[in-house]
Amino acid sequence: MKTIHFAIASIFYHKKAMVLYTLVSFFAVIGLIVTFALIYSMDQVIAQTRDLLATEDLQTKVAEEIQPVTTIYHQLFYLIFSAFTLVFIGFQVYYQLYKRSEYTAWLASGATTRQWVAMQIIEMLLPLLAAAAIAFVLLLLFQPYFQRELLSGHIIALDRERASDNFWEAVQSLPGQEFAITIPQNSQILVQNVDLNSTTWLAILFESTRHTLVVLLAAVTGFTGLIASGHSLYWRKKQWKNQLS
Amino acid sequence: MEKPTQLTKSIGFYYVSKDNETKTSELSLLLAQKKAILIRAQWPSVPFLSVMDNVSLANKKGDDLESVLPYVQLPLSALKKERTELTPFEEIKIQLLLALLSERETLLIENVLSTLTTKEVQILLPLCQEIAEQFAVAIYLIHEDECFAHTPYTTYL
Repeated sequence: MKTIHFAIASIFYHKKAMVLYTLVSFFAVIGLIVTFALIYSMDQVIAQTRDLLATEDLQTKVAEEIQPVTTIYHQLFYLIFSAFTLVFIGFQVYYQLYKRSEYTAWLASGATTRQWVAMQIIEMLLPLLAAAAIAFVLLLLFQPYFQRELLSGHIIALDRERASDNFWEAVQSLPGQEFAITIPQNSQILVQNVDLNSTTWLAILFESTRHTLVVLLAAVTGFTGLIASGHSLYWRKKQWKNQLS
Repeated sequence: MEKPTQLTKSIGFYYVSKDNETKTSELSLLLAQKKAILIRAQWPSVPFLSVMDNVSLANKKGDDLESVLPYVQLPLSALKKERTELTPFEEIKIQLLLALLSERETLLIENVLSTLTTKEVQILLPLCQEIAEQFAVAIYLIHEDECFAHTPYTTYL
């Protein structure tokens, strides 16, 4: 509890840096929740489009055509996550250098490096959790808008891959095409045909948020632990060598 | 592994001249080995913590502060002050308190006397001698003015 109390005191003391970090975390959380929501809702698009089709051949064909779109979403995840990681590592290195004198005073007080590293991790996790909570509440409040944008995202991605054209052509070329007359001929109609009930939608939203939190908490804890302990060990060795003036 | 020095075994209040390179390097080694704690004129506190929180950092075992405070002649109200409200003498007393709470066997007091008034120095020297005896620790006063080597409280090294 003491360490949490010290971490909160440090957050308030370093307000400017923490506001900046919380903002970056907020955008990363929004970006990742949206990306995961796109991935999970695309599964719904695939599942419901399959239901329209009569034969297994057609179902496989449609799944193959939509698959590249899911790859785009995975690439989007890697892009957002890499950008956040790079910014975070840069911030963390700068922050630890800036806090050298505080660490020296911390050690001089008789406290341990382990406690310092634990405090640094908590100091990074609390704003991240706050940013995640705000992002989640905002997404819940603006659900209709979020849903609409999510579907627009799918339409753009499907158009980019010409997915509906491709599987329309695929359906035409396969025998038994008369069973496939309900296949929508453009991405907009295809996506708008997908019915997301409130239970499915909330499941997607919660799962996306959970996944985002797991990924970000692991990254922030890992990198903070590594950078803070590495820097602390280096600085302690250098600092304690020549203390007498 | 660096070898321990003879200084670790001494108990008492000692004066060490700043020019005595042998002794100061031995004391530096003790600091490097984290066997000693350095008391400065300006207390390097953790800036985002209150005075009480800074003290609680050293108080790992959760000792009763009120039982230790009389040894450093510090009222509890001093710990409730803002960091900027502390006098230089209170800062030194708090550092002594931190050293006792963190159970260091060796305390180095470096160049602190010039920031204190004569009256405060007259209080500090017997106080250090008493702490050294009560807590069985070695306190080294590192100072350039050798007149402090010849007080009844210090032993000249």
